[in-house]
Amino acid sequence: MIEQDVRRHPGDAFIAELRTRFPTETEVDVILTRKMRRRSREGRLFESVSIETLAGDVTRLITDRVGYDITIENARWLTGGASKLQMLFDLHWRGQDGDRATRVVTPLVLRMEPAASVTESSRRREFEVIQAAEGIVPVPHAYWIDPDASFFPYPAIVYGFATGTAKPKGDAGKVTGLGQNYGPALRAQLAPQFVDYLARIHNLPVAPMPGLASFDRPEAGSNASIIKQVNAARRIWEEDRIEEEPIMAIVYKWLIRNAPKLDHVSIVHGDYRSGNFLFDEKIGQITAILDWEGAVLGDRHQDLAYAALPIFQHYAEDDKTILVSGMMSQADLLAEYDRVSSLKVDPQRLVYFSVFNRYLVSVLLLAASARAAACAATHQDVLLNHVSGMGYVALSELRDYFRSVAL
Amino acid sequence: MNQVFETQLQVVQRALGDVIAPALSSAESYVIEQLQLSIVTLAFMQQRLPYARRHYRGTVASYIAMVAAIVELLAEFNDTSHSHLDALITKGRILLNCPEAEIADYREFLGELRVSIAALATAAENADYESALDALIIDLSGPILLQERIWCIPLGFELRPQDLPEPNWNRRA
Repeated sequence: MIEQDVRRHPGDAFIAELRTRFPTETEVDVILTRKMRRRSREGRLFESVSIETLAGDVTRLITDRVGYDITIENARWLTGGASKLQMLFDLHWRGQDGDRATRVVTPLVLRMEPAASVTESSRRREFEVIQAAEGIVPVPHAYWIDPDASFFPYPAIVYGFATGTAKPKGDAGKVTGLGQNYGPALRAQLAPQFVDYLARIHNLPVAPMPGLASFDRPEAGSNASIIKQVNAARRIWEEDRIEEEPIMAIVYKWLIRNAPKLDHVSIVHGDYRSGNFLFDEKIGQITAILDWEGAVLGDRHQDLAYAALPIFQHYAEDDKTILVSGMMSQADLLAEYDRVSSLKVDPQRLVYFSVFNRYLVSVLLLAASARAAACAATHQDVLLNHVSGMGYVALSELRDYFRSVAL
Repeated sequence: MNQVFETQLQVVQRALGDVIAPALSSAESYVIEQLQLSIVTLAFMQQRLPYARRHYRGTVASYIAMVAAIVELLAEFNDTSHSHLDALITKGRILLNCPEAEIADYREFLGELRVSIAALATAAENADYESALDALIIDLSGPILLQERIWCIPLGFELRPQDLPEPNWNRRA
């Protein structure tokens, strides 16, 4: 069997070998193993699901969870994002209190995985972390979850509909917010909120939160959790890559050897950037932080470095200043974070996570996205195929950055 | 008929962009997005198809040069346990000199080269030549990855594509 066939039709031995070589968090291991077994089962591809089918499934889920008959209306597709299938609908029910005399209409979003994804992730973790962040930063309320696909074809989550837009009217053509340009007036309003909400997320006290049951609990003073994250990225690379890239083997060694010990355990959003929040363009306010599926318990520098990745940047009107996540210069972002957060910014950790994030993005683009599209495993293969073309920009950036800091 | 593949792709793009896209202007946004991305993908193929063979030949030649440099480095460290690299170089040179070689042949051999180099880097962990080997691979990967970036310019991800150098495939060997 040639190398590529091993990944297209992975056998038990191949799956087991990668699990052993790259130990990671318990829930992450479950999700990645599930992905490979799904792929190995007769090479089953993603089958389109009609909106009527999903409407029926979501009716059964909610009826089961609330214990009485409900109805849903006005189901329609919701666009945005490169990973999950989303349906917007109106729920007619008794409301959160379950009062028999009450009839409430609540707009909700169903978010379901396709057969494969740019980020293979856990709905349990997404559900738990959104609940943890509610009340601290604007997030849609997480209502119900079907983590094991008992009601839907694939695992799914139901959360409240958040108003707002992910893209400004003047720059709506960007795919998933990459290189999003908010314009000078809007970004002056959004940028301080962008940093403030990140600081609030990182300052959440993690230890007393029993709700984060699907996360391994890292300890300050240990780098074990960082190593698990690096291993998860490496495992995805080995599971999904279309082509080997020698640089990835070298950077992996460096990431393992140089993994910093945690000085503080934070909730790390994992995908904190332009395009992953909603805002009200008229009043210039962020209305919801989205896309929590990559969240981990770990080091805040991971988010700080991620928001500043080159693929989320664009030049300001002076054609000189580089705006990270379309917000502000990286120096300004770090200074503002330093001002509003009680947590310090450590330049060495920032460098480490700048390498890590470049590595991770290269994995997600050149391996996960390309593989999902090649396997016809999603509802938007053409989008995943397209963004995989950004993989060489990411890999080239990784090589240049790594060479400048590690050699 | 038009025997040129690029012309076939051109007429499809025009139909999708000039006729079908306007007719779908009131469709849901995900429909329009997938149509636009389909057009971009076809445009990428149209622009790159004429140069694909030269691009892959150039990439094969670059990786053969990398393997040759690795063999030289290992010799400096008196490491002679990598004779399979010499075999790869020979195989690659035969491939480049074969007039009947097709793009699929280049791609398959590139896969073999990359896997071998990555495996060598992994196996070098804690060897006395590890840091020199890693630095060499990183250095020589730079120009290769730059060409891959240039190859992907039609997809529209570069902030300043005009700042990138001339592609190697514009130069005939």
